[in-house]
Amino acid sequence: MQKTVNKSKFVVSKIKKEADNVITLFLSPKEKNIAYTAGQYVLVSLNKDEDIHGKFYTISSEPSEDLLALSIKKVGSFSSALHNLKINDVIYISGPYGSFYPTPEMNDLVFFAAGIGITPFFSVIKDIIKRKVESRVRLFYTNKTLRDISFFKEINKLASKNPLLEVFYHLTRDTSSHELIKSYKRININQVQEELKDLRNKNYYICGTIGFVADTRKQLLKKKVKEENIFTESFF
Amino acid sequence: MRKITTIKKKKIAVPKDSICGWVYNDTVKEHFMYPKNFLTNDEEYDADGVGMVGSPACGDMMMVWIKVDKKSQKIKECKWRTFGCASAIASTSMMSVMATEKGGMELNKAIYLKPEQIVDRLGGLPDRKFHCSVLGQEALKEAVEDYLKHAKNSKQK
Amino acid sequence: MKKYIYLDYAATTPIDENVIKLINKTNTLFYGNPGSLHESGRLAKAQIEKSREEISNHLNTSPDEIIFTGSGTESDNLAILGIAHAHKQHGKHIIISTIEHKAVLESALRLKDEGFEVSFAPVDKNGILDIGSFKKLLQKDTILVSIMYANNEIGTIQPIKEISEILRPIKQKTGYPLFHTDACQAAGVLSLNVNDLGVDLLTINGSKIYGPKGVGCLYVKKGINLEPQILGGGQEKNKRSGTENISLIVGFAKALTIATRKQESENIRLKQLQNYLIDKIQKTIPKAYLNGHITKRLPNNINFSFSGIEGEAMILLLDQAKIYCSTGSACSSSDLSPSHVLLATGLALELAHGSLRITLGRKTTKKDLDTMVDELAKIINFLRKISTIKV
Repeated sequence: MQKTVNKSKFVVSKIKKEADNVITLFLSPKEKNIAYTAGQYVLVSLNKDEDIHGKFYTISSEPSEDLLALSIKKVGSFSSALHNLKINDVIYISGPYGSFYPTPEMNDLVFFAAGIGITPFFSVIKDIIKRKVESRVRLFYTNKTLRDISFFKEINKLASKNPLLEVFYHLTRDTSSHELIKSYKRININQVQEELKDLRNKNYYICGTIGFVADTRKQLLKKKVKEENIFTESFF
Repeated sequence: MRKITTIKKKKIAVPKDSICGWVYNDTVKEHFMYPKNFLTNDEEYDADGVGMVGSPACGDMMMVWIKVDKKSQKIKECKWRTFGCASAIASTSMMSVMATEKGGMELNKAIYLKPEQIVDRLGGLPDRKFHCSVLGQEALKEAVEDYLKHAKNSKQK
Repeated sequence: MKKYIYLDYAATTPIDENVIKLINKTNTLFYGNPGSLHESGRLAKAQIEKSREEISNHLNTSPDEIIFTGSGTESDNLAILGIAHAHKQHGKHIIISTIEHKAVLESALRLKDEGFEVSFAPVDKNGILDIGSFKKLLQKDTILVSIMYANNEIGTIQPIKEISEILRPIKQKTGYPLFHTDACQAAGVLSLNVNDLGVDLLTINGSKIYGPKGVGCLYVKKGINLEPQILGGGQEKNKRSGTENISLIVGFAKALTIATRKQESENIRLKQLQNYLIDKIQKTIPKAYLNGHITKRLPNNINFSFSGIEGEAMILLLDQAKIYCSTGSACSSSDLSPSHVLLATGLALELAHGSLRITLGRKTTKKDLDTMVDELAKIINFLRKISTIKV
């Protein structure tokens, strides 16, 4: 992050509804494009004034995709304004920032996502598959209800085509049965341990609300997972 | 601070903080009111790496200066300055303690220091102040990356 | 035990001793439900009506134009939403200033969501309404204008009478726009004569005039329709339902009477302290900038921005020294946004984050201010020593 922020102009090319209150804005550059690594985030602003900072959103596309995708959950006035954007509306992007991406030597990855915390993982998983990286990925994805699961179809498609990717869905407020739903309560470390068998020699990435990330990390540490094998990104 | 209340001629001493508590816990208070490792004069400080995050417009800005032990590749010294609220000051202070204690933090551990680790050591921060610990960690990361960039350049020379 | 120095009178005031006594007495003697037909109810009702008349005298209006509510915020909501909904067939345009209290601002934003058009009349760098820009905002379908009499953050006093004069010729033709003012900070300091001011609606509350919290009122000129916001038993002539809090209403009226009686002498005393404090801060602390107008401001309000300092840190260190003030910084607010009032005056964000609001009151002494400035100077020195911003 710098003192002054260099903003690049983008326009909204496409808008897709992903889940209740979640849309993806597909952006195309009007000036310079942003070169990013999967898992990174950008600063989004509706004002080109350099002093007026906006908010950070994780990129949900992977680097080789044509359009820069931002998947945004409507929670407050800024995200509501983004939800009100139309095709051809202008938006200013700065960045990218962040280092929430696995390094090449990590071959056994465990991802914990809660709600819209799925965005960096969606980008990373697509990137890993695109670049044919031979990493095992197990994604534990928690949501309140079936309708809240963003990228449900896409993730299932990726999992069905890629044996190295396994997805475990957890719902906390819904009992509508679906064959893919693993459990109807919050992710629990004992359940995870049952699935992973051995918690050692893996790298754990956690993304979601401050509370979810703090709680999941604590559970991993309790099970003697090393601090250096845990990576976090809290959305606030 | 004790407040004396008289009820039916019986004096009861009522410690105020036990009723209302301060805004932050004791650890945060300590690092806010008596911050550790801040740098008074940066012009004379010969840093190996410098990091800066935030801006005055944001209401949060931190600068971090580190000295690195070339042999062990550990952080020897970590100095800082912060423009920000009590949580921001406490976060940078605690981060600087974590970076230099027990012989100093290894550089790759410093790059991957998590804001949650700073919050844990502070004994907790309100959620809306979490971003202060994120800034603290990012400032340290920038200082380390700055050092590594210079170290790489001087090697290439 | 170290004495505390309370300098946040604009946030709220301690209740006057005589008001407390009256509230207690009223609670003991008049506990009936004012809506009941029996004597217990009628006695309670009489207390309310007595208070209503007392307040209406201070506003130079008639008692049936006063509606009691639970707070200044509730009165503002009732004014903005109540008028807009009741008069929407005449127009859907509202004008408020950029420095209104959040109770007016949020109500106006709710109207915006409902399809009303809301315009924000800008202020100049001292927080005074830009009359030229305001005039340009007036439209054929403007039904309501709301401009606060005196601002709670920077103390700026608006030219309410001048604004009502601008609206008069338009109103003579169509009856619109109606004019509301939030006078919570003005009560006990400036004249509340609604005829002089030329307003159709006016808000005041108890907590700023050494009265109780949890009570306010809205003056509504006779003949103006208002949609009630709280529905139920039809109290307050159907304008605000709910069993009336007799003792708070009685306390509120008494507080206003006492405040009005002390108004002139207090204004003189506070103005002297205000001048003293502004001078002392400017002489003691470098890079200190006064926010708001130098003369058109409440006599108890002092608001400074200090370069290189963040407000929450400043307030908490003052709190540790038992000095209680407030700030307009982002970090101190629950939604992490800096004071919209300071930003509306064009103040740079960095200085908005470093703002300190000091408001004086009945118990404030010169010695308090000396102690305060001494502590403040030490605190600012310390925070500037560790700040990234070189001052």
